[in-house]
Amino acid sequence: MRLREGRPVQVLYETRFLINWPEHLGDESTHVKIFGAMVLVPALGG
Amino acid sequence: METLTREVVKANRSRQVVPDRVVFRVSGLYGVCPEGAKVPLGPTGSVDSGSVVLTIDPDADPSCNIGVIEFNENKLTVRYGVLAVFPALYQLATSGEHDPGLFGPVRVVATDDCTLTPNLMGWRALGCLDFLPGSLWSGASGG
Repeated sequence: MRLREGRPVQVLYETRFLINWPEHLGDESTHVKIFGAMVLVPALGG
Repeated sequence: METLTREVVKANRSRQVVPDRVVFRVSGLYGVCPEGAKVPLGPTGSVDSGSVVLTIDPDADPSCNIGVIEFNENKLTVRYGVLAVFPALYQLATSGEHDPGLFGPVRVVATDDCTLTPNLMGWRALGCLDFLPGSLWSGASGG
């Protein structure tokens, strides 16, 4: 993995969340599916 | 004790160390949820968010957008601080029916404890999610 070699890496992700709304908003839940990308930049290795 | 010479310094500089643990920061994060979600407004019902877009929160707590990978244990722990925006925010802020101050970007912190896949190309996460103060949905949580 590039991070282990001290280099940044771009990561694609797809994830699902279950959001629980607070009681004053009805106390229900909603599923949200999110996909995207992020860059991980190594800061310190040891 | 080894004598310090030009050759020793050169050898030390060229030595490759493969770390077992790497601390990293998260940058350039984005996410999209094209289908959006139904978000509650309390007694007045709910609204369709429209497509939800996430970006990194530039004002996130310094403990956010940092993680650590333990390669020997195939573990990754990371904490994200993100902003969520969606078209309904603008509609609600301009409707005149609500406090517009509650409809800025929604700030969320997510913490994940992950297991790396055997090929180190991905991870499975068990995490939790908290909506920070400042929006109508403050206090929501999840995972």
